[in-house]
Amino acid sequence: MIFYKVFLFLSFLILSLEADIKKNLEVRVMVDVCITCHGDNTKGLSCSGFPPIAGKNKIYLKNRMLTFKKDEKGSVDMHRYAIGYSDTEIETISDYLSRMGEK
Amino acid sequence: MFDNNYQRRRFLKYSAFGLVSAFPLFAMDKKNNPKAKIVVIGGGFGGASVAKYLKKYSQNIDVTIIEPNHIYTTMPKGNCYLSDLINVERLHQRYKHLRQSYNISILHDLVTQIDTSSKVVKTLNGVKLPYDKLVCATGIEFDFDDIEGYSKKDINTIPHAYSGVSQLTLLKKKIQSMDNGSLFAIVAPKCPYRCPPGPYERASLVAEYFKKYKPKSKILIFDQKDSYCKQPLFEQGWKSLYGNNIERIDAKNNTLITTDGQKHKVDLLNFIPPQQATALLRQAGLCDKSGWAPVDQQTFASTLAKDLYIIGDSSIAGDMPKSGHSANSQAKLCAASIVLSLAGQEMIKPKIANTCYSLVGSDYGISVIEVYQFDGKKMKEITKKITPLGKEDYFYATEAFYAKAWHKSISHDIWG
Repeated sequence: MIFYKVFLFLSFLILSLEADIKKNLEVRVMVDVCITCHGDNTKGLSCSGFPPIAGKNKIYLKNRMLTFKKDEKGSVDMHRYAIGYSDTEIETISDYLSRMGEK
Repeated sequence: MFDNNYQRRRFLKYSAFGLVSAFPLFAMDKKNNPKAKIVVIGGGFGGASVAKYLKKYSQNIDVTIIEPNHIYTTMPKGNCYLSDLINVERLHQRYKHLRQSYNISILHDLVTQIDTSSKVVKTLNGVKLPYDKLVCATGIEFDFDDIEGYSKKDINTIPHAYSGVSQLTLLKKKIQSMDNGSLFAIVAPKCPYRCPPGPYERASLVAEYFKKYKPKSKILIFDQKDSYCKQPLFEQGWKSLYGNNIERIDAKNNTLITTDGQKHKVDLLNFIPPQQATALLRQAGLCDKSGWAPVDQQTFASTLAKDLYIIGDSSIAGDMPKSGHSANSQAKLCAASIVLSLAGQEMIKPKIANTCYSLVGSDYGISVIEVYQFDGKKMKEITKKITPLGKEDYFYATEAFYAKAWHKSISHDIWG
């Protein structure tokens, strides 16, 4: 019976690990599309002029994106990106970004 | 009791399935197990990106880029070099960082053949490189067969300047040696072609050069298309910056352009020929009748060969244009697809994006931003929006700033 429980536990662990890798890479690719311009560390890419986003507060990132999504006032370019994503996707991307880069 | 047992057996069955299906993951993690060998043909926007992101997404693979050039010259921003706004060094990219920080092997050689059945690529220097997965990011080639009176050997007198730095430099020298008051003509290619706004950005920046150094000179654009990318924005910019110095001519009815005055007499001709995927891919049977390579647009795996992926300009990528930014986005998706495929996992459908910035003048930028997602059949455009018309000058100056920033940051994302 103990063997059976351990076996079950391990199997679920593996299944959830698999699901995690898939889900993780799906979000990761979406985040890496942002990285193209913003850079993947907390300092950003100072020579480019695009602000750093990695390691920023999740709520801050999410609110900025939702504000961009509403109209062009904040940034014409970010508005045009933001309208392509659902609020849930924005939340997921913000969460991932907030955990990136050295703190 | 029966139900309970049944449930248990079901659990056991799924658990066993879980173990079996997860096996490749563990197999890959074992130190003794050989790493999967990924070969990437081409070290440009698509190739260098896919190599770097493969290494970011998995520790258990070996990646080799095969690229003939030691220094890669980006064609985006090439028009700035052409019109003397920047030095050629600003377009140069090197592979040192990919080699040192990402442990990617760089083989400076030219692939001459892909053997899709034995999964080997052969090079000009006689190297035979086997692969587990192959990514082709070989860009475009010109189709010279289609044009009367023009062949490959004519590119030295009538440069295309649309691929490779030597052609760009040649056209730049010819523009600089033109007399004030002479006529420069660009022939824009038919669709699909690399960088849809490219010919019109070129006309814009050469017009700016003329305004400074040869103010009596003019530009003609011969075009077979009914309309082109960001047309109202280009026309708005041209009117405000260059008056009537750029004229677009409908060339649908086989317009004859000569340098000795048949129908249109021009002093310098920049002929951008129609385009297709590279001969390497066509000879390997990776292209269809259109001359481009069909792929499963969720993963960018070739539909015509196994364990082979095609990204960037050569691929048929649904609604995505042939651009450096598209290639970079596709590379990230392709890298993830390869890692998932090696682990025996299901494929993903992340949203990816493209941005095309164009300069109408050195301080006048415009752009299009698009978001895409695989819809079950193709890479479908979710949203597409171009820079608004009728804004103040400072607005377009900001876009020009972004255009320059984009080149720096995407270059850093790929080669940095």
